[in-house]
Amino acid sequence: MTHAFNISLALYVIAFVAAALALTFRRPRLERISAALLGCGLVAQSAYIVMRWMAAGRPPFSNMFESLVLFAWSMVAVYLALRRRYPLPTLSAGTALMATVTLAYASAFHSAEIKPLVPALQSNWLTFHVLTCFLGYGAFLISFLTAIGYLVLLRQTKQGADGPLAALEAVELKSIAFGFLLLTVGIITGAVWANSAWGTYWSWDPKETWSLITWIIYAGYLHCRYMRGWKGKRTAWLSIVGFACVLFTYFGVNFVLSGLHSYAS
Amino acid sequence: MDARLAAFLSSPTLAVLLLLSIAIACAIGTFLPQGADVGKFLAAHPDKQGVFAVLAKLGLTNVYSAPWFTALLGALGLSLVVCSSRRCLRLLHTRKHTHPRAIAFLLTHVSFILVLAGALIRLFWGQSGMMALEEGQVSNRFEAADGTRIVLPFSLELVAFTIETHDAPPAAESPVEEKLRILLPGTDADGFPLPIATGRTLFVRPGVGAVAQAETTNDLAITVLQQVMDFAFDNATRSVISRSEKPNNPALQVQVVRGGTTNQQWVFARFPDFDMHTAGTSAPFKLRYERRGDPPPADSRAMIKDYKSHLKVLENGRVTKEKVIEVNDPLRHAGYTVYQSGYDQHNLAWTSLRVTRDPGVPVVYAGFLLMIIGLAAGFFMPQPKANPAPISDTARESVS
Repeated sequence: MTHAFNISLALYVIAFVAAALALTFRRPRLERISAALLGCGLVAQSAYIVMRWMAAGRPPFSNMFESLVLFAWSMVAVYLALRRRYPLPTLSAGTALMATVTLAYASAFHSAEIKPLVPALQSNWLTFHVLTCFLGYGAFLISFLTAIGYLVLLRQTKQGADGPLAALEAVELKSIAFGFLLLTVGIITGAVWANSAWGTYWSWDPKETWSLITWIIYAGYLHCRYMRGWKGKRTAWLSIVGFACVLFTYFGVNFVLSGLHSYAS
Repeated sequence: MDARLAAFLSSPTLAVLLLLSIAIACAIGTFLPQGADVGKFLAAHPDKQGVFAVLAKLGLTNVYSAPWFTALLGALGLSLVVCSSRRCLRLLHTRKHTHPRAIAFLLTHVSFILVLAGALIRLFWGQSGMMALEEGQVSNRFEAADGTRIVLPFSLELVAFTIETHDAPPAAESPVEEKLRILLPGTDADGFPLPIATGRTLFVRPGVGAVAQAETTNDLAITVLQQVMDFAFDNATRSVISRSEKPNNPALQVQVVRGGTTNQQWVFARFPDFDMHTAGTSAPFKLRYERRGDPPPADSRAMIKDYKSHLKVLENGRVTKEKVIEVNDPLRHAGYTVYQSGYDQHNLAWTSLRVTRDPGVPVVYAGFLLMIIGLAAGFFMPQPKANPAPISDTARESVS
């Protein structure tokens, strides 16, 4: 099982190197190789998740290590789904880099030990809720990378509406729309699960509240985009702010807010 | 409604401003202590009383129940109602030319109104509280958060409360390592480790370490008098017992003699910051019992697989329903839902139940369903305009 994890990590590293070389030497073929390596890494990682699921006897989505593995899987899956229509080398490099960093951080700082589930997590809702949330996070990561790419490219060159900037904007919108839908489903499944487990679908828990804040930011993005015609730098920055909220929801609530509230525990 | 007022209430600008305000208020509520946590925070930081008095006046110590927060949500609801009504009218007038996406997004806005309406129903007509039951006990009351006692139209009897534990992991291949560490003020912060040998006296000189015998009044004579694997204190006999041979709560009784003063205390491997003196006063040193390689104790949270309450519903003296409830599997009866909430670690004959009644849940769930349908249909339906063309090779190269 550990071999599958290491293989996927190694493939992501090589994919990043290939994508970086593709960017440096302007070789579209290297970008295709990078995408293929990401695909192979995704297969290896999928195998790891399935093996861990079988070994644990329950979905492997219950602690920080397992969620980081799922996060890496999600970002690569979303990128490859979008790549068919929008093959962008910068996105390939960014996704490979983020997947590598995520898996490396998971293996270095979090235990991979399989532990039994506490009673509150023993529910089929665990799979639906966590999977949809993390697919949403993966999509928001892609939108973050495209926003960064957009802003960097904007500084370097002035392109018309048909240029690559337009393609980056399109990917940003599509990934946010996809991520917003999945985050909505994730929040809803979490609320329904909370109601069936504890008798209340919303209790203003910090994790719930920050996921709502993230949802609001992206809802604001979509309103500004569709209703006010916002484009370009403004939406790129809004996408970056939205992803900052995603990171705070995922990590900040666990490490920052838990410290703030430790006096109460 | 005046056309300009309606236009203002349904404007995207107002909606975004309201959403932003709600987001900021939500964030504040996560950073500042809220509700009952304020008292605990001030107990730990009494110097912050003045600041929190001001925050309380501004409603920032109870954000989610504050009138201004409720007003923000109400304003958002009103904006949604006006916006959705105008859209609906527009769609009815132009139905032949209406793209299905517009209907999908209208549904999404209506769904949010339903969710807010469901929350409002819970606020006015919902009930929630806790009930503690002992095995064999019958009760028809539960206590709300504000202390109010609410009477149920039926009674609940706890037939039995059970805890299931996971199988203990197999014993480690390497032997258990244990040592007794003595920490003396002014010496190495990690303390001085000693082997554990029951009945044998070891001598320690501060600043030097182990010595053959005590020669000065500062030297300590340390003896491990007893070792138990599963420490418990029997209140009836006022004596220490070991509940089992499993290392669930390993403890050592240690005697330390220094300069004619004798100190005896129990030290615990799983609770390094806790000790229990049985003779002598507090000592100017600290003992720590360290063990590595033990499996987690049988009753630790990590080992709890499940906890269940076997309940009977009694009405007019007859049993009308019977169910074993657990977390994620509550009992529903007469509009009330009874959830397995917790239990008493020190008395496993007690169970803690949460009882709720929320007539707003079906409305909220309808809103959830509509929201998913509306968003999925809106985002995945073909757009009225052509999609951006896939990027060409030339454009792809210039991106890199």
